[in-house]
Amino acid sequence: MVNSPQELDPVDLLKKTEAELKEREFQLSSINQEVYKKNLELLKEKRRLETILYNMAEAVFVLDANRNFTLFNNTAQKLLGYSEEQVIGKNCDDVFFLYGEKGARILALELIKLASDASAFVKLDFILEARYGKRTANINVSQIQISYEERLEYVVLIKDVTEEKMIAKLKDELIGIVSHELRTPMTAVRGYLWMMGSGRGGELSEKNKSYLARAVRGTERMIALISDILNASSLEQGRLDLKIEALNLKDLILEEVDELRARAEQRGLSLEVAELAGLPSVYGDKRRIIEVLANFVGNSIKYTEAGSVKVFGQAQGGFVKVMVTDTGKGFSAEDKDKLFKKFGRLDNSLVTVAEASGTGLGLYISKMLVEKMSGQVGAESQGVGKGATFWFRLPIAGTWK
Amino acid sequence: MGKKILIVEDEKDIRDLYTEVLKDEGYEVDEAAEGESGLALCLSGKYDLLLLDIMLPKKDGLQILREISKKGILPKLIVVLLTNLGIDAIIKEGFALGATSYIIKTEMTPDQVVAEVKKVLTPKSPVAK
Repeated sequence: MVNSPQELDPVDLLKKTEAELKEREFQLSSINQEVYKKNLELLKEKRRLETILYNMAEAVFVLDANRNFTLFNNTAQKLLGYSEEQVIGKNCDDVFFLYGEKGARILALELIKLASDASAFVKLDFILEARYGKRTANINVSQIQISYEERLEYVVLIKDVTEEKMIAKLKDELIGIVSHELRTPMTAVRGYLWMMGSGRGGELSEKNKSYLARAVRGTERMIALISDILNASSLEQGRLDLKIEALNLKDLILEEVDELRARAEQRGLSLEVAELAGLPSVYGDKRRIIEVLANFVGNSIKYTEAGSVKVFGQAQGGFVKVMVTDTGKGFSAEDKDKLFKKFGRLDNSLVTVAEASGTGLGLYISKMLVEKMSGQVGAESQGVGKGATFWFRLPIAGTWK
Repeated sequence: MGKKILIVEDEKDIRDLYTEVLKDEGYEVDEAAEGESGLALCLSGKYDLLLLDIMLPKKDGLQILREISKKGILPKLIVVLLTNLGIDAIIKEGFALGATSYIIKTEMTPDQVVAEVKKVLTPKSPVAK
């Protein structure tokens, strides 16, 4: 028996088609609902991102390749004094003026060039002048490209730092005034202690002489502290003029070592200089390099009970590295990071600021000075009691005619 | 005959200190505690050396320097600035106005101040003709 193909009754067929259609319809409507839901979500997410972008603390705007505004957030509207409608499509150089440190006008094109030179990101302080007058602005520019076909756009982020700058300036002035006011009485204290010690007021007993010596030491430490605070503060404010020139480090080292030799001998230490011949010249500020040398060598003398302090230099990959090695107290690995910090007391290395009668600012100032001269500082030690090497390096000077 | 020194300094303790050590060295010393009388004394033209504080009541050190430099007294009068500010710009301006040297007061003991005074008052050896 052969099975005949199943034949459906036309009514059944119609019913089946109807059911299928219903099924499709249902599917479509749920897809529709899904699309609607997704759209709503996207819209919500877009609104959320826009709200964040438009209300963040920094002023943000976007420039197209012709430096015309394509986006302008609320903070930018407040800072620059224009609404988004007023500026969209306008060239940014017509909307605000930027000035550099020396008062020269900076066009958006230069700003963008700075940004592209710095590869992706540049952060600078400018004077920004718009509808509400001049403000000090910290400006970030980053390039963006959404997809390959689209042209580059520039996201500009501006932080109004006018108040911060003003406070920093006031702080700077205050430190200057306070330091000056502290120095005046210290001058009298130091001067009259010296008079007493000179025997002008009559002979002092041995005991009084030793009391006096302690008072003098304390006074000198106080004076050094005031002067270091003043120096650190001007360095932090970037208010330090460097006179960069090509210098022969050999002469500077020999000179400074001679200055400090008496102190080393007083402590029974040998102070040696080696390997300086043929060192190339470096770029740096003579006075500041001497300060750093005096700090490093002075520290080594201070922290070494017996043995030697050696200074040597070598050329190394575009830099001249000057090393000061001693057989002194050294420091532990944990303390290494604290060495160059402000008032960086060493908990694990026996040495405390008070014990060494230092100001706690010497290495911190040295580090800032060397970094201002485009160099680096560092220190190594095998451990407490095993001596230390402090070094700095400065860039080798280019060939001069 | 001792050389004549004028100290213009508003802090009495410091003025007294310098006066005492300089008199002991055989110098004739006059004092002024503020800018205006200091300037008037300078203009008398009888001094060889002026120790001049920068921050002064009534008239500051740089103003005094500017005025005596205008009056043409400077080549004869040697000026040493007394300061505790340690601000490079002020010292530079002082030098530009004709000061010979400067003393950061806290950083020098009285004997070092005397040594500096002696140094600037020593005539430079004449150039051989």
